[in-house]
Amino acid sequence: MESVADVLVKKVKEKVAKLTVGAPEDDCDITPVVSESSANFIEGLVKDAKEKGATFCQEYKRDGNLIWPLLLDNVRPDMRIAWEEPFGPVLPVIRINSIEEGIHHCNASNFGLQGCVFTKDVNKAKLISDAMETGTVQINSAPARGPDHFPFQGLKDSGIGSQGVTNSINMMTKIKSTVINLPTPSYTPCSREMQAMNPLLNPAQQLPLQDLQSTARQQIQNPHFDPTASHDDFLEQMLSPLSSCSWSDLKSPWDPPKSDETGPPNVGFHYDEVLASKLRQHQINGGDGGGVSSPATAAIKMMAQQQMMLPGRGVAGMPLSLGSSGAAGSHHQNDIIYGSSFKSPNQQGGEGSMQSLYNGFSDGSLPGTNQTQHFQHPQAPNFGATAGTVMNQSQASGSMTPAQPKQRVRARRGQATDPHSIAERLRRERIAERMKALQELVPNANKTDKASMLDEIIDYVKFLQLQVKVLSMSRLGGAAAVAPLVAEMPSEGGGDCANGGGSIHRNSNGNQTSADNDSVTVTEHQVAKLMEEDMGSAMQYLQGKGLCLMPISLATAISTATCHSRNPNKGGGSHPLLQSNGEGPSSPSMSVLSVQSATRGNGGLDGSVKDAASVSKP
Amino acid sequence: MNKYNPPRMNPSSLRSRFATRFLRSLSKINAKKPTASSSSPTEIFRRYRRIKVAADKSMAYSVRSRRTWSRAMLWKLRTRPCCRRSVKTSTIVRKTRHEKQNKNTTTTTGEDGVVFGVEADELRELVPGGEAMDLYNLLDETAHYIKCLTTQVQVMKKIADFYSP
Repeated sequence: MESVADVLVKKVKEKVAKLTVGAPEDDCDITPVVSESSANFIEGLVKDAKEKGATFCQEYKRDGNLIWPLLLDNVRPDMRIAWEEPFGPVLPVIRINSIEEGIHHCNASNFGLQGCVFTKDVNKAKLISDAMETGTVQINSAPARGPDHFPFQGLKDSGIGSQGVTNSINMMTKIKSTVINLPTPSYTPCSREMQAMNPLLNPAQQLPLQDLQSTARQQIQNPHFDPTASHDDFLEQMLSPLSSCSWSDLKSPWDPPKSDETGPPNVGFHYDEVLASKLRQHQINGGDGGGVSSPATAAIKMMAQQQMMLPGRGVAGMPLSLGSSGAAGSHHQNDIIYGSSFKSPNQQGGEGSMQSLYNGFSDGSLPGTNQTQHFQHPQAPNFGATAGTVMNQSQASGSMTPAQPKQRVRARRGQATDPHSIAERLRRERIAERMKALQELVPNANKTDKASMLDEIIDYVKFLQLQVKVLSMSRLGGAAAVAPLVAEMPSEGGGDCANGGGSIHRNSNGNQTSADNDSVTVTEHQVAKLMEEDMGSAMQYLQGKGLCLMPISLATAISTATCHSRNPNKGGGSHPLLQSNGEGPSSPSMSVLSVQSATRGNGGLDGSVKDAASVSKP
Repeated sequence: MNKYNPPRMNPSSLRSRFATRFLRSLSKINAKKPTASSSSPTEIFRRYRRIKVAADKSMAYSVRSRRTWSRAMLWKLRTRPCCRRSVKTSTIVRKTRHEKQNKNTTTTTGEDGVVFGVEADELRELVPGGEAMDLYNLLDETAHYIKCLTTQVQVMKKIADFYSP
């Protein structure tokens, strides 16, 4: 190491001597440092090194801010210059005895912007540079910013982040996702997988189709299969009892360029009948439910079509584009698992999709005629994906019992499967649940309409609150007393305010005014009974008896009294009178609840008091 | 005075809790009033208010703070302008105030989303603390509130019954 150091110092010294020093206008190598404080700082470092015994290869010379280049040898770690960057033409040389010592010194600093390694040995270079904790390591070069497209950064205290074209752009970029929500979904979760597969036209990609019968798989995987020979076999395989291929592919639209149609359709048409007949036969054998044949037929036609198209288009897997031509409607895109739908069209999804297929096909089942629809279809590219993945799904589901096709949430027709809609649907269901629970609580709640149900609930709550108020009124005059105010028919009531005053008096005394009036008694009894049984009808009874005004005034009076503690004084209806004579307590069976609305504070007795209806209960 | 105990199905049921509390407060009210005769409507009104407040408070306390509406009611009762009790700055108050300030601007959408708008607002006014709830929670609270109100009415009726001569 010593030999290296000596040689190096000697060489550097020679070079330093050749440096020109002066003003920048003179194109000098060494020019003044940026400021006086900087020059002072450098001088401080040099002085410190001198004090601690560094070897000065040149004389330290300074003129203002101009400092002559200085090479310091034998610098030790206890000198400041070993750690602090001078930002001036001073170069310290630290002699080390081993690589580890050098690495250790490099890493011991709090800064770590750049480091350099000069060596011929590439292994050493890599090892040392890996060990150095700096943002950049230059091998066999002085520190530099470049190359430009390399990231530039510092470790520890030497900066945050990374500079460089890519890095800077990334650091100044925030990802934003924009979601365009179509009126109906254009993809299903399974379709995404398929879409990933679809562009890759390798046979190997047809993984979902692996679950098919082996022969079928082979046929599918071979994009260049011979249509003539393999077609029938494939069809048989597809329609075999164990076939769990998803016929939902049938509904996936295809997006072939029209040009593809020209040649193969002829061939396809030829095979349509063959396939159709085969399918019919097979279906009859399989005992399919009625009404399946024609859509299935058409589906098979589609299948054949697609098969023909496969070589041309190089689409991976026939089922991928199965029937896509037929299924024009976007509503077919919902992930309806056919399962073994041909075998068990009773399946919910199967039925629906069959229907959809039928609908699609009824437009003119042959693919040629349907192409125009697809061109307008915005979601076409996704559907190839739909087919395969749905089929994949159905594989698994089909392998389960046919009666248990559901593997994931199946959307009903016309309903979305995206999380947003699912959440919305969940929310609605929860609310409906709550409404049902409320329905049980509220009497007379036989309404099915949500709006009127809410109205019922509101009325009931109001009624209950009213009852509480009424009951608390009844406590006036002591816990032992119940205010005996008697309701009177409006005809009998004369709006007598004086009586009101008297009644209040009686009220406070805890006397019960008997209801001498038989009719009133009867009414009260009735109402009381009704109250026990059915609040709603009680109120209705009250209303029916011509006391309709009372509850209103009662309610308003009470509400205003309690809410605003003000004189409610609703002019409304009758004033149910109190008996002007304060008799003794009425029959024990009658405890009368009464409500009063009183003005707050003053003026009570002047007729601003209204006696509202009272309801008795036995 | 005999404390009227309603038939206890469950010693800690809502009904018994409410009944005990309410009777206690009733007796307190009776103890407070100077004479049996308070003729002015003001007095009567005040008494009515006291009793009603006692009833509400007993109910709310029986439910504790488990329900939003009970919390809101307690807060309301505590910070009444003409409140006769000192306003306690307890955590409950702070919490409910915070709740009240968190008004969710929820749109009551749904299948019949439009319909729910008006009625839901009306319901919100009725149920204490309902302003700051979305529809689902509002319905939940309403159910519990109805249940408690019915209990309250039943107990009060029974008490009134008992005391009617």
